[in-house]
Amino acid sequence: MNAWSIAGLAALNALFCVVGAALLWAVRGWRAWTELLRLGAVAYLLGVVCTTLPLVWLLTVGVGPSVPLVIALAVVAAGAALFAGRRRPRPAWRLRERRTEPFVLVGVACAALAVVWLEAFFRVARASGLEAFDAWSFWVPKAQAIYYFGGLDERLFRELAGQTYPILVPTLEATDFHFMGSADTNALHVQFWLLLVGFVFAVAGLLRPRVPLVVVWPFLAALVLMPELGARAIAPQADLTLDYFFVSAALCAALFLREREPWLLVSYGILLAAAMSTKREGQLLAACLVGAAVAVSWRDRRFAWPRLVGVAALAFVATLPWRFWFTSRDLRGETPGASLSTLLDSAGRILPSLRLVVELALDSGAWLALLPIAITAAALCLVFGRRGASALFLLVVAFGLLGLTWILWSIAALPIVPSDATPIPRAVGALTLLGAAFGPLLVWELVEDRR
Amino acid sequence: MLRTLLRDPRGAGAVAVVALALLLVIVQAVPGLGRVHDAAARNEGLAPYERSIVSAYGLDISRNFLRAARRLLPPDATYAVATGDGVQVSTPITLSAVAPYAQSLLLPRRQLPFFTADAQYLLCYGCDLTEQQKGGAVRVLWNGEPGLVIARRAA
Repeated sequence: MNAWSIAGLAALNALFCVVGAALLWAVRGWRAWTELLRLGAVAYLLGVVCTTLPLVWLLTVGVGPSVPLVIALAVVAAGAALFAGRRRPRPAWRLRERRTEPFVLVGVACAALAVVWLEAFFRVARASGLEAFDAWSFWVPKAQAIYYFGGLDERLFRELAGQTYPILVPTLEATDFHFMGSADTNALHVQFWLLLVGFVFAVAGLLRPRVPLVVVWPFLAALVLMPELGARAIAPQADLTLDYFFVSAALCAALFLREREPWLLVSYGILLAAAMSTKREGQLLAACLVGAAVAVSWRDRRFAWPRLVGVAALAFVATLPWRFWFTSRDLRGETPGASLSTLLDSAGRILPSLRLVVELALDSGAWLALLPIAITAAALCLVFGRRGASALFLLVVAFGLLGLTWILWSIAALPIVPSDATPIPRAVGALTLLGAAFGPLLVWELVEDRR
Repeated sequence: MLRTLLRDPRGAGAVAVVALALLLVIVQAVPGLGRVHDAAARNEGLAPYERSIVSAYGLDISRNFLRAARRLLPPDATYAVATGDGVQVSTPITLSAVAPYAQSLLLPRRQLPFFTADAQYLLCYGCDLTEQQKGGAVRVLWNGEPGLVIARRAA
């Protein structure tokens, strides 16, 4: 382990926390410092996006990331947010209300297990080599090119696989290299460990204080114990990073539809922009989420639709600079490129594709059984007339399964096999992580009015 | 509290769902922690240099060849990778993986698709060296293993 590299990463990620905390201050304020602790991981994820996405835009106009530029961006973003929130009252030292929770020790034990696992996983991350095929073949080389050549090297991008893949992750990695002082591809794994930690605690922070510890942490402890998560989470590529952004955006959307808090809408938009800027599948998943949110908010359509769709449209606009860059250079491969006739010719692939997607999503050996458990909770909610987050969750899962099926169907070159020859074994992670994040909310919705 | 919850079907359903999640945690805690400790021990057992070329083990690309290439090619160098059947490999993917893996490992050195006049160095992995020298002679800098050569275009 290179201690300087880790220190550089820590400094950059602390900067992300500051930017995100200032942003949350602007859009919601802090009633107490304890709220900052609870939502610190949400602030972190927002800070990652609000710092890295402008760097992506700057890259498309020829300005590469550097330490002074990132610090300047962070100061401007945090300063603007603090200025916007200058009228907010100062946070108190602690919240006044005190609540008693049932079986709190069970929740604390599960949280402790998750922390122990994450600590052990840090030891894996800090000593990892660049092993994942997609990571060394194109995700990290793109980041190295940005770092070494100071911008988007058109020739190299043309040679590498995934020419048109969004570049939020390579940009983040290149920024990491600048803060580490070298292209340390081993220490880079720690960045992805930090994103995992940020995601786990962001889900916990969003669910609390609504949902008791005993409901939140069994799901999150099971999430970190997923074998597939352990196998993939620290690989310096975009698959799980996309899932973190997408699932957090979905959770913010679900909570916004329940509580109508503007800061949840802002967070949903920022995280949706991040999902669409992380991988091509991000746009598909974003469409699934927006479609599902629009469908379940039919009764509140006057209030919800302009906000949900308007913010999603703004999030899409955030992806346009990259789109302009690669289309202006005639880089290809954005869509499967299947015409209606080729889709009809390969209609025989639909059912086998759907079967494979469902099998992989429900694969309890890889992702444990959190998705079926969450689906059970959602079904119970529907049976008992609770149609809030459960309907959203079930629709997103259904749309997601169909969307992933469409990928397999439309790209005839992809074999319908459960191996890494297709993106599906990784892509279903979005749905299984969604199950882990929504599970506690669904359980709580089930018993909510009993309190 | 639990009894009150269990009296109602909704409460019972919620308890059952949380119990299932808890059961998963209980069943998976020991193997999950075991897996992560094993992975940490495996990674920590590798020397820093081995970590930096860890994929070369799975692809069965010569580590000495890669190490020499890193040492001999300056950061601003241009190079080409040429492969051929002049080297024994244990997996069918080795030869097709040499060029992309070298590209990843040797950045910021620029890889060119062929050993044309623009390329200063040649990384020959079982290639026909005579064939490669049709465009100009080369000076061999390293040939530490049979069939593997690192050469520089002669001035």
